[in-house]
Amino acid sequence: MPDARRKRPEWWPVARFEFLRVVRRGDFLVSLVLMPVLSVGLSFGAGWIANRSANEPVKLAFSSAAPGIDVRLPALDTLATVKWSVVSGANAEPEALKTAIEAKTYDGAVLVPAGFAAGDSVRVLAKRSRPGWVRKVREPLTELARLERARAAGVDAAGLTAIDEGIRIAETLTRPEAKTSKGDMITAMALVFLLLITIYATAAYLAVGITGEKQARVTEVIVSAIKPQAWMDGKLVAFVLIGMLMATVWGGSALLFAVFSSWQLPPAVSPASIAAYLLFLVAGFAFYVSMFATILATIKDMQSTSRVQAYFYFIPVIPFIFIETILDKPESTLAVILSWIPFFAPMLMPARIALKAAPAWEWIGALLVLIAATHFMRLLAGTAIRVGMLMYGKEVNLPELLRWAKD
Amino acid sequence: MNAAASPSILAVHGITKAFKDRVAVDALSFEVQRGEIFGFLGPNGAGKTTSLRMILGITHPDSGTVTFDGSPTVDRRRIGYLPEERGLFEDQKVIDTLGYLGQLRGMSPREARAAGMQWLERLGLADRAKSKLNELSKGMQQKIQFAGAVLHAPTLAVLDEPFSGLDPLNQELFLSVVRDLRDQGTTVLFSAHQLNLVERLCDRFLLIARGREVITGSLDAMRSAITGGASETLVLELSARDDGPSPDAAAARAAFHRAGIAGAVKVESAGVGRLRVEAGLPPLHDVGPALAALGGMYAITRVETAPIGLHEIYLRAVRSAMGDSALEEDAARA
Repeated sequence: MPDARRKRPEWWPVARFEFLRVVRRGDFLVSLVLMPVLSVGLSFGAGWIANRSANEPVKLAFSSAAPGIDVRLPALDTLATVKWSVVSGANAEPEALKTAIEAKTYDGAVLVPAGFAAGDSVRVLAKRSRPGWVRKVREPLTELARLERARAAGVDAAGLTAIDEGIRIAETLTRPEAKTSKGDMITAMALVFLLLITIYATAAYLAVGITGEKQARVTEVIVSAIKPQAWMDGKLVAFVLIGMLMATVWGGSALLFAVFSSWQLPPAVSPASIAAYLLFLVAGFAFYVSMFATILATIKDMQSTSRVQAYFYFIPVIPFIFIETILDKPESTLAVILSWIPFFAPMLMPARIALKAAPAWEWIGALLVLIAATHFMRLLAGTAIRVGMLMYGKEVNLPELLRWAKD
Repeated sequence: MNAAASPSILAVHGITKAFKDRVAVDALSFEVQRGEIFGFLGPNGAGKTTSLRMILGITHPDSGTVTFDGSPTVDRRRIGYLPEERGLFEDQKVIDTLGYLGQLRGMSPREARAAGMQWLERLGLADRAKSKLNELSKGMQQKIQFAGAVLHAPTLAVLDEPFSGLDPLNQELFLSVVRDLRDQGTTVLFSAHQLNLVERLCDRFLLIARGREVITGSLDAMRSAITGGASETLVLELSARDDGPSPDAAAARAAFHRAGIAGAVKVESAGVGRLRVEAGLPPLHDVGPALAALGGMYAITRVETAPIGLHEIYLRAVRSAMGDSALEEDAARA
């Protein structure tokens, strides 16, 4: 007998095989690399499109009967995506402008009446209703009307600025140690977002690894060699590693992109906070993977997994319904209770940590509860495969699962 | 562990398993001796696979015990299992799959791959080591599955329907491979419906029906028990001579009785004007008087004697235990 038989845990070969099986897949490698490439590409693409549209501005005819209203005014002149052409006389007549628009001389026309500040309508000529440029033009004209009304009321520009000045807030904390930083919240939410996309990206591989393998009838060979729980443990370890590999590559790419681009990096975050966020990321991912594995272990074939895939996308966003409650009152009873529940903790507790509303004992406690729940879910997943594996063509229902788990 | 003390590698005592509406295995007991090839037989739905799963610890009996090599705990890593319901990782290379299956049985990755390659060579598939499983024929996949079940040189190999999907040439190869396996020290527990092959391979048998033992022992012992001593079969074919009468069933039976062949005589038509007569004989029985009696009346166109085979023993034992109607019901349900 080889010595190795007594050294390695039973789940180890399953974890190794499953991990290598997934990471060697072409589609996995593509998605691993494609996500950052697409993100960077979209980011640059959006910039390129914005730049391109600035180079191809909307051509608008402009005529004003209001004294002092001119396209040379900064509010209108600084519209980067509009190229103004001042028209007057016969050229400013609506019929002439219609002809010019149809002839593509202009994309549209703006006619400002003398009493526009008093409520007379600014006339807009366009080929079809509600063109996008009307929204862009409306804002500076509203600002000009506001200035005009102020002047009519005897308020000069400086006076108007003084009126518009917002109030200043001076914060005095009863707990100086609870001062939050923008960096904390950005980091926490970025990692929660990373958790979410990693869960989504892993769901399909998890279905193939569990239901697909069950359907291929490989499990009976495997559980004749190792315990069903060891098989499930190996799968869970593999998928947690796969998820964390994705999170590392994607999170790392985002960070690198931020460093080497013009993004403003958030202020420094304490290593303790980062450690807490990462622990919730890993434990939360393990919890959701174990929960999905339990569901998938009860399903008879891959076709039937389409029934539950929608839930896999829906379930992890449920905690976000409560995010506003957390942000408004992070120390409220509801916020505290929710952030201790394993289902919500991976998303809500990092927000409370970032808001300095969860002392160390509390988030460590919630983390331990999350780990305990993951352990329970892992055992349930093992039971589901033990019961379901021999039921070819039949699915395990919840009462059966709970009865077997109890046994 | 008392491997040296006990000749039995596997001892099953009174295992019972009931599912919702029926008892699948009912107080079944048997022992498999070290180094033998043991045939575990029964009709579809008899409880064979459920019994094998209990032996392997995949499911647990409601009552009864399974002792493996003297221990009440089955060491799964010393057992090789080829289940009836089987599949493989179709998107994986053959050698990777074998390496994985070997590792599951406790081998190191290197050992598992080396053993996998040896088995591929033995089975004539060495050149397909790097092929993906979905590129192979069903028979080739069957061989890979077999290799995966035994590449770790198990103490006990449990093979459930290993011949299914194999052509006659590969069936012969499997017979030889299973014998080699036994010669190298692996005890084999074997379940199959190809009784002609099982008969050639197994040292002892257990036949079950409806979860209970019907008969057990060596082929000779079962033959003797089931036939009441008439362990040979005499088969004659009779036809009319040019000027003589057509063969008559009653006359044929009477001639057999006069010749001292007292057991059941089966007579059936073998075509127009021809009869096939079959009778059980004790060993070394003189068939001369019967041939002389019948030869005086009819032309004897075929004479054949053979030991009663496993197929016949199986049918007689199961029919006697269950009755024809119950057999048909079970076959329909399975």
